[in-house]
Amino acid sequence: MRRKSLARATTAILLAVACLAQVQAKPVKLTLWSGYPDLQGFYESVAKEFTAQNPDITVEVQTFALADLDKKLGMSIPSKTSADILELISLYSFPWATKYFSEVPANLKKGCLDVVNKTYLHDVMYGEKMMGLPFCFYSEVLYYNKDMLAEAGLKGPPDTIEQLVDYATKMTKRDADGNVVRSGISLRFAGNPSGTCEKFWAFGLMPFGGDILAESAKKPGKFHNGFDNEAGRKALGLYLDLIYKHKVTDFNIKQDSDAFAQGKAAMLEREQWVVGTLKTAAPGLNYGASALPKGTARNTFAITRNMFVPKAAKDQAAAWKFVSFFYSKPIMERMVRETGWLSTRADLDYKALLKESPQLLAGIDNPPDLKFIWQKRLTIENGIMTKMGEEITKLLRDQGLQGNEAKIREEIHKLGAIVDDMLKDSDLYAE
Amino acid sequence: MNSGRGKRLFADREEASFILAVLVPTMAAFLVIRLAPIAETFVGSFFNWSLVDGFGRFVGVRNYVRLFADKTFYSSFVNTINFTVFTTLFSVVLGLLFACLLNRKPRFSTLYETIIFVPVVLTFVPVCLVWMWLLDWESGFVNVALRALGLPRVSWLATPTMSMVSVIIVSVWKVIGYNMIIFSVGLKAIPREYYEASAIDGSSRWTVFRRVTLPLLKPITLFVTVMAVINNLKVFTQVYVMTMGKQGGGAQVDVLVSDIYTRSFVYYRMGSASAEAMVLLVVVLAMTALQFRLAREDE
Repeated sequence: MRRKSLARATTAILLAVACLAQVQAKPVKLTLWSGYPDLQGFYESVAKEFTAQNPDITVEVQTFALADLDKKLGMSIPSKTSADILELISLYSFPWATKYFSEVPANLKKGCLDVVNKTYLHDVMYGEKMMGLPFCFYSEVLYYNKDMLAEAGLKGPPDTIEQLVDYATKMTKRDADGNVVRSGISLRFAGNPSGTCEKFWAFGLMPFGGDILAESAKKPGKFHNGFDNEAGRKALGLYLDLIYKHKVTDFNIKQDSDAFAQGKAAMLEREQWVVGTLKTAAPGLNYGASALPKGTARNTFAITRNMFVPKAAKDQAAAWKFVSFFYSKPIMERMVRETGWLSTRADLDYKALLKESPQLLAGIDNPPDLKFIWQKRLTIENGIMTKMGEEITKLLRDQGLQGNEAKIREEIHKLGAIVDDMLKDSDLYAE
Repeated sequence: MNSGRGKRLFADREEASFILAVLVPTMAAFLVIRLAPIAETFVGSFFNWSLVDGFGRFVGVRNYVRLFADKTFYSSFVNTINFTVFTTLFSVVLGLLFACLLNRKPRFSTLYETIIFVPVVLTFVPVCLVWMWLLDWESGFVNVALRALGLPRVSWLATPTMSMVSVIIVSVWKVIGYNMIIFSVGLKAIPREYYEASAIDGSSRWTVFRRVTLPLLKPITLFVTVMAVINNLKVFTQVYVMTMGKQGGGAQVDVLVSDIYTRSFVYYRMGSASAEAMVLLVVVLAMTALQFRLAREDE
């Protein structure tokens, strides 16, 4: 009898241990979404390294074009079908952060706060709550082709808006029919409208002290458009003058980093990722990068890329474990060295890491008068930027606006009213 | 007698059971997949709601009022109608033309049929990307060919008007083959006797086409036109790929479905998007009803 009981107890213990072992060994497969297909390889290599150290957790990386990822979020987050880890630019996280994402665990938050450049916490801190981990940042800088600059007899990049217009005019090339075959500066006319607005914001509004949204002085937390003013009018005027008066580019010629890589644009206003792209697209290109030229002010935006874990993630602990691994110093050093994206960690030696890509230092060694302008973290901010981008591209195609101050004033006022209406719809408007 | 009546009744029941067994699952699926979302969209169009915050407050017809005051909605509506009219017109006329030509069985007619039909089975997104290369202002084949002929280059995708023209060209090219096949089936069903009688009467080819072929093809023409109108009113893929995803100099073309998409998944204004979706539904229904009515009046 005693022997029988002992045997039963032993069997029960063995079964329990076996079950426990099975529970502990249950493999977890996480999915990570990113809006940067060019980083697929990097993410996969990090995921592989992570799994080597954590055999029970595998991470599948899925990347999409940035604008497509935004649309996927709109459908998947409310239906709780998104990935377990979301790598998002701040703008895309604003609608979801407080309601759908889980808070960064205390130990990871502390670890991050110990090493992060505090400037870059702007978009993820909601009171004391940290809703995502900002691992990377980017800003807008000016890229210039050194050979074309020298060919035009110019010594260095433009430092002011006046110089920019002058330099762009000098570096523009046309064919016998007068068609632009090389833009003095590439301008953004199309593509994801939110991105078009982003460029207008940095290149047009910011040098004149304007902004997309301005917080109400009377009612903090409420906003109105920040460009129905002199800055907005100057910004639109600058674009129109570049296209129709100085004719430094047109709607037919290639634009953006492709044009810069192919020598079809002498200057380009873009973010740091261009350096990584040019490494493969135009390895022999002789170019430099500098801070954006100043008008009445020298401003640029700063945007962070952040890791979020939705509340609906199948295993939050495992997901945060991966994020923690990802933000470790060796991985961040690798990210900077291999991809050219800049980390928010303050303890990295950028000068040593960026020997091969000195252009990236334009985002780090900033002029003392440079000021970062941040987004306002509103749910509808992406919607506002998209709407503005759509309207701006239409305005830029209206040649009749060039030089017509009254008409420019009217159009900017109309655009401001559209933005204010969107704010009113969301109960976020105040003068 | 009783047994006879019972037998007949049994036969009816069996038939009724069969009909129900076949119809009920289909109708249930149709109800859940088609009608319920339409009903939900209709209800949603009277609310201020978003994907982020869910259903908000009841706003009555405000979403409709603001929609009709919205410039983007109007341009989307006009663009959609323009696209539908021109794409339907060209694709139906050209589809009929090719069907008539190939119905005469010229040499290599099967090869021609295959070549014209191939675009129908190709996936639209890569097709649009290829067309964007072909229409590229600087190095696209079309402009290179125009220059070789001594003609000026065309900014196919740089202005809203030309972007629309380009989208129509690609859409017509894509669907001609489908229309051609449907018309070919219709042409083959026309009894030869009519043509023989016309030949005896000494009618010209044009008269035969006008008096025999066209009237007898009317049901097929109606089918092709109705399907084309419905499909064209829902245009999205080619517009999105060719005019909205470009970071070059491409000019964006707004159409109703792309506007609904933007309102839903970019602005998160589902009430407004629902209202626009209902407008699109009404337009599609009205156009279809109108076409059937016109066809009936002609009869």
